[in-house]
Amino acid sequence: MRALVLRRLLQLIPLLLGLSIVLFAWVRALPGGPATALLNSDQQGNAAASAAEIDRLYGLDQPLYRQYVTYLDRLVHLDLGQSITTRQSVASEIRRRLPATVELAGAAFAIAAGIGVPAGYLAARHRRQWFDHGSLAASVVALSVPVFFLGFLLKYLFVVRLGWLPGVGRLDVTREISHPTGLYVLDAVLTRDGPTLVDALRHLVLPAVALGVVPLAYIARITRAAVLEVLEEDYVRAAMAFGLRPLTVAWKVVLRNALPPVTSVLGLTVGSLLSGAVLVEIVFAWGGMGSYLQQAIADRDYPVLQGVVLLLTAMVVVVNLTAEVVHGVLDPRVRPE
Amino acid sequence: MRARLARVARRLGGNRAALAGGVIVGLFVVVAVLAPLLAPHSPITGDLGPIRPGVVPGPSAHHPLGLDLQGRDLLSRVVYGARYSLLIGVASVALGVALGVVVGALAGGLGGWVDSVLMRAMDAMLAIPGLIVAIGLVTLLGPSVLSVTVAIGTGGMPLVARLMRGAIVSQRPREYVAAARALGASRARVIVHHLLPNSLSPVLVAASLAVGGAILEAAGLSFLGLGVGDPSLPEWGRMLADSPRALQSSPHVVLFPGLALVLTVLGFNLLGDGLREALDARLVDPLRLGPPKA
Repeated sequence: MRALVLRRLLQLIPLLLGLSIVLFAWVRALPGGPATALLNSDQQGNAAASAAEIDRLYGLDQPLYRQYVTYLDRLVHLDLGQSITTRQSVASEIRRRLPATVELAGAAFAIAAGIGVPAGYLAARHRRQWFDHGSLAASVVALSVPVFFLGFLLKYLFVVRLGWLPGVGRLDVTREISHPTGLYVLDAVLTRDGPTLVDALRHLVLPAVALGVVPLAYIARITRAAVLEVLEEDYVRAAMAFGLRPLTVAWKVVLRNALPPVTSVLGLTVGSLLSGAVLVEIVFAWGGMGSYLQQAIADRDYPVLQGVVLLLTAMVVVVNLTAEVVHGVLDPRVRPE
Repeated sequence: MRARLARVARRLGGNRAALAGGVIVGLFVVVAVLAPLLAPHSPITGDLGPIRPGVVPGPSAHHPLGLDLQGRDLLSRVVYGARYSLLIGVASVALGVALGVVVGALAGGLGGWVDSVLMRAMDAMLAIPGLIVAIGLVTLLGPSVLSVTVAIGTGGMPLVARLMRGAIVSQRPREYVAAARALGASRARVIVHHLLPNSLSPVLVAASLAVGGAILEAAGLSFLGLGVGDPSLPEWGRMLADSPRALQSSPHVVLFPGLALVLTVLGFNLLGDGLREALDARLVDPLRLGPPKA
C-alpha cells in the first residue's frame, strides 16, 4: 500500500514540473505582459521609461531560466501576486472564495455518486428492460444540456414561477453566522444552528442539482458498463448457484468487483465538476471561484486568471491522485508488486 | 471497404435513435447554410423602440420568437447562431483528430522513448480540465472563432492520441504488419498505409461523440466572455449570458437559444452513439472517452 502511494507521488513530480513549465510559458506569453497591464491601469509618465522600470522591478529583464526559478519559488510560497484592478492579494481572495466552490462541487458530487451508482447498477441488473432504456435515454439528454442552461431552467421554474427556493447567493443576506470552516452547511451543523442549516441547504439545492446532473448521467453509464462486465463472470453465477441471497450477491460479489474501477473514474469527474461549478456559480451568484474568474476575464486581470487556473489544475491533479490511491486500496490487483 | 461501409450505413439506418440524431443534425446544417434566406430580420441590428425596463416583447406574428434585450429579432439570431456552433464544433474536432492521430500514430508506431515522451505529455494535458485549457488558450490568442476552435481542438487532442496509440499497438503484432515489413516496406510506410487505416474506427467514433462536447465547451467559453469576439454576434452561448437580466421579465430570450443548443448537441450525441454501435467499436467504451464536458 505504501509502495503504491509512494510510486504515485514520485510520478507526480515530472507531471507537476511539466505543468509548471506550461503555466510559466503561458503567463509569459499572455498579451502585453505585466508591464503594459500595470501601465494601462496607471496611465502616467513616459511609457517607454516606465515599462523598462517595471520590467526591472518585476525581474522581467532577467534571463528566462532565472525568471522560471523565481516563479517556482513564489509558487512554493503560495505567492500568487495581487489583482491588477483591486490590488488585493490573489491568494487571500482565493482562500476566501474556495470554500464556496468546494461546498457546491461536493454537494453536486454527493448527488451524482449517490444516485448515479445505484441507478447504473439497477440498469445493468435489469438490462434491456424499461429502467435500463429509460435511464439510458435520460442520460443521453442530460449529457446534451449545458450546465448553465440547466441552472437557468431550474431557477426559472423553482424561483421565479413557483417561488419555493431562493435563487441568489449562499445564505439569506440578513443572516449572521460564524464560519469555522467556510462551508456553510458544515458551519451550521458545527454551531448547532438549525435555521441557518435549513437556509444554507435551501440555497444549495438548486445549484448543486444543476451541477450534479451531468456527472450523474456519466457515473450511471460507467457503473452500468462495469456491472455488466462483472455479471458475465463465472464467480457471480457460482455465488448465485450457491444459493446466496440476492442482496448478498449484489453487495459482496458484484459491486465489490465492479466498483474499484469506477472509483478512478469518479476522480475524473471532479475536473468537469470544477469547471462546471465555474459556470453554475455565475447563474446563481454563488460567491466562489466562478464569479472571480468571470470578473478577471472581463477586466483582463491576468494575475487573478493565473491564480485561478493554477489552483483548479492543482486540485484536479490532487483529486485524481487520491482517486487512484483509493482504487488501489479497494482493489489489490492494481497495486504494484 | 465498400461492403463494410454499406453494412455500417444499414445498421445506422436501422437504429431509430441514430436516425433521429441524423435528422436533427441535418436540419441544423440546412438552417446554418440557408441562414440568410431563413432569417426574417437582421441578426445584428435591432430596434430599441419596443424595449422598456422589464418588458421585452415575446413571440408574435411579426417576430416568431420575440425580441432580445437589444430589440433584435430572436429567430434571426438563433438561426445565424447555428453557423457558429456547427462550424466551431466540427472544425475543432477535426483539428483535435488531426493532431491526435499524428501524435498517436507516432507514439504507437515508433514506440520507445518517442512513445513515452509523447504519451507523458498527453497525460499531463489530460490532467487539466478541457475548459481550463481552453480558457488559457483563448486568453492567449484573443477571443475569435479561430482561437476558440484552436483552443477546443487542442484540448481534444490527447484523448484521440491515446485511442490512436492504443489501436495501433493492438494492430502491431498482427501478421499483415510482419508481412509488409518482410516485403521491404519502410517503417513510415507501414504506419501510414497499414497501421493507420486499420486503427481509425475507434477514432471516428470518438470524434463523432466529441462534436457535441465541443459545442458545449464553446458555448461555455462564450458564456464566460471568452467567445467569438464581438459580443453583438449571434452566438448561442453568448446569448445565454443574458440570463441574469432576462430571468424575471423575458425568459424567452434565453429559452430559445438554449433549446437550440440542447437539440444540436443531442443530435450529435445520438448520431455518435449510433455510430459506435454500428461500427462495433467496443474499444470505445465510455470509460475511455473521458469525463463529460461542461
